[in-house]
Amino acid sequence: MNTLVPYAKPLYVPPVNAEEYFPLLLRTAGATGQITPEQYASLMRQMAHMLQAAVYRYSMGANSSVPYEKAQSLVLSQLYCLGFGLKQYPNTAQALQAVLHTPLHLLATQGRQQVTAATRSANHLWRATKAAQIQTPNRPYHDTIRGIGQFFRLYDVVYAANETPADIDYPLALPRWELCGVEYMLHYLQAFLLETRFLRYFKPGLVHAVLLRAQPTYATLPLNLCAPVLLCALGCLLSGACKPPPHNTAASPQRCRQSWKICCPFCTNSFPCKTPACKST
Amino acid sequence: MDVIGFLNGELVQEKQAASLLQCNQVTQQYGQSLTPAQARQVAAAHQTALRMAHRIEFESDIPVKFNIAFCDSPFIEPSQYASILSQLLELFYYYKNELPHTDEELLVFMQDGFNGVCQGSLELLGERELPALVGRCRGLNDDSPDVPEDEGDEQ
Repeated sequence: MNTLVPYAKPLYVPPVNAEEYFPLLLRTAGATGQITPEQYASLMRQMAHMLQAAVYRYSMGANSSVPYEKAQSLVLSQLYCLGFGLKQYPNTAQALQAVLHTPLHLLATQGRQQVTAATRSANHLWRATKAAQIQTPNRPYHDTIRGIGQFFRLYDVVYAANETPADIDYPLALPRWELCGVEYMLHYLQAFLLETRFLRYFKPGLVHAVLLRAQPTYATLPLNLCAPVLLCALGCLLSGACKPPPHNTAASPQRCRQSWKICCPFCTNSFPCKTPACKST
Repeated sequence: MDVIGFLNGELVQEKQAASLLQCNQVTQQYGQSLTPAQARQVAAAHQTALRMAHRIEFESDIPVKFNIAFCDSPFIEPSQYASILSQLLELFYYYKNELPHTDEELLVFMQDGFNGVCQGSLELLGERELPALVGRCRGLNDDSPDVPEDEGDEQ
C-alpha cells in the first residue's frame, strides 16, 4: 500500500533579516492557510515561555518584572536566533514544518548555536581581512578594520543577538542595510575581503592615483575604494588599454595579475608610467 | 509579533485574585482580609500599575508578597487595606523603573519606611522616602538645598 507523503506547498518569504524571518514566515503561512489559529496561539505561548525564561536568566531571578523595552529587546534577540536557524533550512516549507513540529525553544537553541558558529566564521574573516588590508591613506578603511574587532568582544548572542556593536564607517560598494547582527557582519566582512582582495591586484600607487582623481580628499572621507578602481579597470579593459586576462577559469590570481597589464589612469601607457608630463610620475 | 500583548491578555488577574484570597488564612491573624471583590480590585490595580510603569511581568507573586508584608502594619485600617495595597503596588512599580534594587530589597525598604518614619503615610513614602532613595542611588546629596546659597548672599 502506498503511503502518501504530505505535499508541502511552496511558500514565498521575501529575503529579510533573521530578526524578521520567523514572524514573516508565520504571517505568510497564516495568509496561505498553512497554519491554523490554534497552532499560532500555541507558538505564541511557547514564545511567551521562552521570554519568561530569558527574563529570569537576565535578572538572575531577582526581579519578576522588566521594562517593556528590555522585554522587547529580549524577544527580538530570540526571534533573531530562531530566524537565523530557520533560514538555514533548504526552503521555507521545511522551515515551517520544523516550526510546527519542533518545540520553539529547541529551534532557538539550535539557532543560537548557529549564530555562535557564524560569529566564529566572521572572526576568521576579520583576521583574513586584517592580514590582506591594503596600503592606503584612507582613514575610514583602516578604522573600520580596527573597529570591527570590538564586535567580537561586545556581541551578545543570548540577550542582543540582533545588534551589531561595531564602528563601521567604510561603505561597501553593494551594502545590505536590511541585515543586522552577525548576519550583517558576515556579509560585510565577505564583501570587504572581496573588495580588499580585488584592490590587492593593483599596486598601491596606482590605487592611490585613481582615488585621488576620483576624490582629492579621499584620505579622510568614508568612501568606497573598490568602485572607482573597478570602474577604471573595466574602462581600461573595454577601451583596449589593458590586455584582458586569459580565458582560463582556472587562472590563479598571480597569473591574472601577470597577464593583466595595468595601464596608467592618467594616460594610456602601461603602469608605472614613463611619460614625463603624466601626473602619476 | 505581539508576544508582550499576548502575555498581558491571559487571565492573569483571575489567578492573582485567587492567590490573594488564599493569603487570607495568614492575614486574618492580624485582622486583615480581602473579599473576592477586593482581591480582584488589588489584582486589577497590579495590572494597571504595571501598564503605567511600562513593565512586563511573568507569574508574579508581588501582590501576594505585599499582602503578607503589610498585613501586620499597625497603620492600616481593615476597611482601607485593599486601597492601600493598590497604592503601594503603584508606588512599587513606579520606583522599580528608577531604582536598581531587586524586588525583595525594594519591598523591604517600603515596608520599613511605611511602618517606620512615614508612620503609615503613603504621601511621605512616595514623595519623600522613595525619592530620597533614588537621589542616594544616583549619587545626589538629598540634604543639599534646592537654591544655591550664593543667590541668598547677593541680596
